[in-house]
Amino acid sequence: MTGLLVRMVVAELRQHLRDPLTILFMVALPLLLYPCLTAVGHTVIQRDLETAEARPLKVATTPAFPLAANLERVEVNDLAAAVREGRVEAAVRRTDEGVELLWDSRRPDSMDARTRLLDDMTAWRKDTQPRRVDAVDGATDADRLRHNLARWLPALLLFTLVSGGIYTALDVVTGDKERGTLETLLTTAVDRRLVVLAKFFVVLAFTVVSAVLSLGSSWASASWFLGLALPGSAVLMSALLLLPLAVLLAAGLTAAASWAPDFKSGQVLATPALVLPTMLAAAAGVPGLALSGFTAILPITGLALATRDVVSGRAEPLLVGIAFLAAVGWAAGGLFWAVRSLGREDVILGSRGGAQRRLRGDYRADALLLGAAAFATLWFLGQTAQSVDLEWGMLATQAGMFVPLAVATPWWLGLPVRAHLALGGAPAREWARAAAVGLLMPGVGLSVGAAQSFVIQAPAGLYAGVFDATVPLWRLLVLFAFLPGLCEELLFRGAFFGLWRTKSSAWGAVVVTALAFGLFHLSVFRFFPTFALGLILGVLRVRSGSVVPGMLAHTLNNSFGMLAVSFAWPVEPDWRCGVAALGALVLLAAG
Amino acid sequence: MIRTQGLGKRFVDPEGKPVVAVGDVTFEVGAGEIVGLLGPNGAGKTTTMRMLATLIAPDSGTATVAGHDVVKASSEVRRSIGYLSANTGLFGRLTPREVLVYVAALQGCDDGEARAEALLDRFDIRRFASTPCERLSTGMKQKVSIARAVVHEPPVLIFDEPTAGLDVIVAQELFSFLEEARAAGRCILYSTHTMGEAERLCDRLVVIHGGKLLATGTLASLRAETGRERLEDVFLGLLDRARA
Repeated sequence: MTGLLVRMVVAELRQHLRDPLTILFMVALPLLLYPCLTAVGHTVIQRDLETAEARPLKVATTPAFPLAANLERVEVNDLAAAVREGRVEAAVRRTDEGVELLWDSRRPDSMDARTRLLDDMTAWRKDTQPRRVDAVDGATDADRLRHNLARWLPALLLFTLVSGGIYTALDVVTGDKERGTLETLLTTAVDRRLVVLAKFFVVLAFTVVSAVLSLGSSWASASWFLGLALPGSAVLMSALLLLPLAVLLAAGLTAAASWAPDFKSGQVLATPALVLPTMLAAAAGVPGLALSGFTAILPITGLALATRDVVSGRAEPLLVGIAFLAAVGWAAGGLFWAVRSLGREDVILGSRGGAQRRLRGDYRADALLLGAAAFATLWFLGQTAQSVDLEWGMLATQAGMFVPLAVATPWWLGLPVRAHLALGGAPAREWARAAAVGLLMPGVGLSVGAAQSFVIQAPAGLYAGVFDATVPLWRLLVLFAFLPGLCEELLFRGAFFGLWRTKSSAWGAVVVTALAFGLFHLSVFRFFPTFALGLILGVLRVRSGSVVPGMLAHTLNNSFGMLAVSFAWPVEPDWRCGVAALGALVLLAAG
Repeated sequence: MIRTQGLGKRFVDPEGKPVVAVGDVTFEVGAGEIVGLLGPNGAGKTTTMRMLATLIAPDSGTATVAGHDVVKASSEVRRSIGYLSANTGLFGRLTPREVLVYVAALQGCDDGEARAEALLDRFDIRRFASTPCERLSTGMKQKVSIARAVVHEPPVLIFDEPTAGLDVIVAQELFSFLEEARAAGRCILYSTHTMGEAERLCDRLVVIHGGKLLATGTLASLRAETGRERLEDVFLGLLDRARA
């Protein structure tokens, strides 16, 4: 009996474990989701903490006690109204029994201002007779209810949108494959793009109906049971914002469903299709995460923040407009992706595409897997090793993890390792170009870092405390300049670039590799500078036909940073960085 | 009407190794002719037919259907063919009438309803015209599928094992239809595992094995080539020769 049960369990396990899609999502989802979320979340929170401390907040006080430097006193007549309308973040006024501190619990800045004022008043009250301080929240119960509803409504709406669309997408795409009706459609004279569009519109119809019902239901529930009457304009605006979101989701779900060879695999895909967008929308519930020029263009998150602000009645029309336009752009991209996905032969035949793609010499999916593996390796193993001992951890990460990944991937795929990694030599001119560009690259990184501050401001001292200036320079150079120069180039411009290049133009491979390189640095603030450096190193790879000159340039770039650490050079972007960046571009373009 | 020249397609086997599904296959099918595509399982019949139906693109060689290149003019090819295989399913929740009207519209016919009514009579499916296809019997479904494939009156028919799972009565109705189509000047490529069907229907035969063309010609010429009488023996003789 027990033996038979064990055999049955083993057979069932074997049946399921042989489904690569199940394994991929069982392993990849938890391994990649949390690192990505914490990497983004950590950097955003870190930036918020840094900027929140220094940001001056407007307050109004009728007793004129001394204020800290990060509080700015302004004159207003009606203090309570000023706090409520957001003209000041907090206010203090005299009462018969002492003083009253007015604030608004819906606004993180108001809460900060309240804390700062309490600190300042503590010092002030020591010099005067003890007085009573009453903290008065300017937000009414209804305000707070609306505020909380606005924070969580986007994630709830998105959840209902996806659940409304996912099974429709699976039915009209994956189900059509299983039933053979996709093949019937594709043997008619109709253009394949039209077939996809028709399916997309069906999914869209279901997501839109789901969205409208969700919005109507939440509005009715809030009105009838909570007594919270949302203005009709807010409901209408939310509905308008949900439209591009529905288009994006419908396109994404249609494309995702096309990947699944059968309905069972489609159900495996349904989990990440539900979880990932919902988490992106849940950003609207993160305290302090504001709709800004940067967050407005993020997929799903931008619209979620805009919807939150609209529902809570604190929307800035320009930012909401940007979020709307960005969402339309994402939706168009999603639709394009869906059309391309359903045009693929392996998708039509419902076969596992990987081996068939490799047969056609297309290893781009393997490049993405390599990138994901490198990311997960760095996150879980590399960072752990570096947190124990930075220097040994760096050595273990670069030499012990990246190099094996870079070499083993082409070997496992049956590709000629040396040729694939482009380990051959390069003409002397390319060495000279790489050396000169490598010396100028720090200027590029600093220039791009300065330029990105218009979109996303990196916290001051991003690298402070990372490197120990007391470590001998030679060790800094070996561990943080030479090793990354060698190993990261082998991984990115060697293995990753080679795989992507199999079915892409050289310049397409340069851009995608640079994107992967930027993401790999695990920081929102370092993305643009490292992406730019990745572009330069990619160009060197193409121009020289070898990965080795890029290793030299990468090493020289990092060496500058280590010299700056060792000799405490001030590293601030100025006009010289711009000149260096221009020089690097000229050198790269020169024949 | 169908012409292939060195047609080839590679796939990967379940172990991930590349295999030649179809390699260097050349044959022609003319108007008013039924040509049988014969071969054992995995010979490359379905892959060849899928390439002709523009479902998949050839890796090598060329093919034209009704004068149109399968790669460069795929829409025109699809407008010219009626394709039927085990993988072309019916929309289960639609009725036969709805399916025929819908597919006629997809094929660019303005008079879909009239065509549907005519086909409901031609294939004797009017009794079930308003029943969802998923509730029809196997034979009835196949009749609807054949009607679906020819609703736009294409000059070329590509039928991949259309009698699989059918009873003898429905199979006979299919043969009668194909003979009518031949008489009307249509070009028909027909694959089957049943030698009796091929013997009865086909004017010429194309035999493939392991993706390679083994022989092509009339039944009489193949008999002469192998020295055997029954088509089944002729077929086995050609396979033995290929394996040797």
